[in-house]
Amino acid sequence: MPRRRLIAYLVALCALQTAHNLLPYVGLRDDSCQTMFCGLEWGAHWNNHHFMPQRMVGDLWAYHTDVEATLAPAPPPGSRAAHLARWLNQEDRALNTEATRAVIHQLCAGGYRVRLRYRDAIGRDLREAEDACREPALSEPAWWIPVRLFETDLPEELLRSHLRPEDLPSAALPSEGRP
Amino acid sequence: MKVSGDARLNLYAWLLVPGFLGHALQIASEDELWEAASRARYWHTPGWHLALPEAMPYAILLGLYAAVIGLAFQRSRPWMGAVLALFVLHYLSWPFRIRNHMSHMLFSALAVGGVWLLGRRSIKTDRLAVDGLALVLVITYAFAALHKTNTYFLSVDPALSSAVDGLTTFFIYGDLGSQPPRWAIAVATYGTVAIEALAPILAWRVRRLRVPMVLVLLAFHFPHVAVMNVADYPMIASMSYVALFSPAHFRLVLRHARRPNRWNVTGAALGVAAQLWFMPYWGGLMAFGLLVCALWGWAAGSMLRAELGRPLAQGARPAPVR
Repeated sequence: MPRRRLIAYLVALCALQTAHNLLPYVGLRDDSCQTMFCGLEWGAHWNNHHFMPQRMVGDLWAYHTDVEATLAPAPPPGSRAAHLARWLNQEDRALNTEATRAVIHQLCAGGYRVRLRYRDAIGRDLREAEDACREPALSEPAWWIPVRLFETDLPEELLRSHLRPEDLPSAALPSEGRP
Repeated sequence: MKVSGDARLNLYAWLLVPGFLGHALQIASEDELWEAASRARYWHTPGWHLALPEAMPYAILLGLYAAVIGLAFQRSRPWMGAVLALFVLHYLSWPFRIRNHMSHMLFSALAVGGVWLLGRRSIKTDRLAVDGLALVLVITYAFAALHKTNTYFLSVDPALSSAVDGLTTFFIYGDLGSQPPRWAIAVATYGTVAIEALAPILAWRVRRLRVPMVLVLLAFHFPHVAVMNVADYPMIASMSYVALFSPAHFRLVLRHARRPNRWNVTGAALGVAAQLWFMPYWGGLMAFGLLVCALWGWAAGSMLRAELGRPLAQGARPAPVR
């Protein structure tokens, strides 16, 4: 009986490892799933794999662009809040949605009001939040995730060069490209 | 003092020390904990570390290395248990990039540590723990192969395929030519996928192919150590190769590995010489590659002597093992 229990434990562990290593295909992790040096590329609805499908779950994999954050009150220079505000306001960088939520959460917890202008990670629409602290989608990180899953920020140019028409909602497609 | 009655787990415990040396060098070279930028990165990286006191992830890391030093001096079950438990905590609290070798090590630690926690202390339990290590290794490599089955990796374009790019670098630094031949590109692309998908499972389940497949895996990883500056991953993966051996086969190889002989000393010397020949510059992980290649050369010489060399004692060749 104890041996059977141990075997069941190992089977469960292997199932967990298998599920973990499949995460890139559902947009739940890129770091550390044995994807090193593999050249696997993916977007919202595509990847360059020969047979694995790409079905995104949630927005953990996505990146906001054109982010501008204004804090009230202004944070003291050199403070943690000032570092976080600088990270949000980096020029020409795309910010991972979950990293953005973690940063805004810290600022809100520090008593700051965060006004945010950004291009939505999935819809690509320009949006504005007068008080990001009141919007869970912008300020509530998923606390069940223990570690970093994706790069926290990327050059915007890299993200743009990576976008394919099928990544964009139909409204965002250039009109000349549609019948 | 021994970790286990299973010699494979004892060697695994011994190999954890160089494995974690590689991990430390990787973290030092990339995370640069002493830089101000590292502190800012701590804050904008999501994860459980944000809910901890800021010193905690570093305290866990220091605790892990204290346990590794303890294990280096005394290979005992409590020290190894401490290393495995602290590694799990280190993984779950690390504020920076979680490397691929860390996920492999996490599941390996959970395989051994979990079986130890749930089972009674016996040789049978330890053998199951070793089987767990082998399973984790096979799955790790299988996914590395699966992810590489894509249009970029299997192209012959050095701008798209890291296999072709890495091979070209290997040829250049090894003075083998400025461009690899077509057959070498085919081996580096399709061969990589085939090796990662098949070599570990064949080595584990087919006695006759075990040593050739382990040697293939070591040769496959050599360019990663020699020119790609990532000796940490191959070292941590190769620690688990002990689990691909049956207990009897492992004892046979170990008899040839315990003491220096012409085979293992030559293997270690060739390993160091090859690393010195190929390495493009001196650096922490490159120098660590010398140790990795020496260990692999020693292991390769010992395995070859066990397979091909003359019988050891009184002219009696050990009975065939499964």
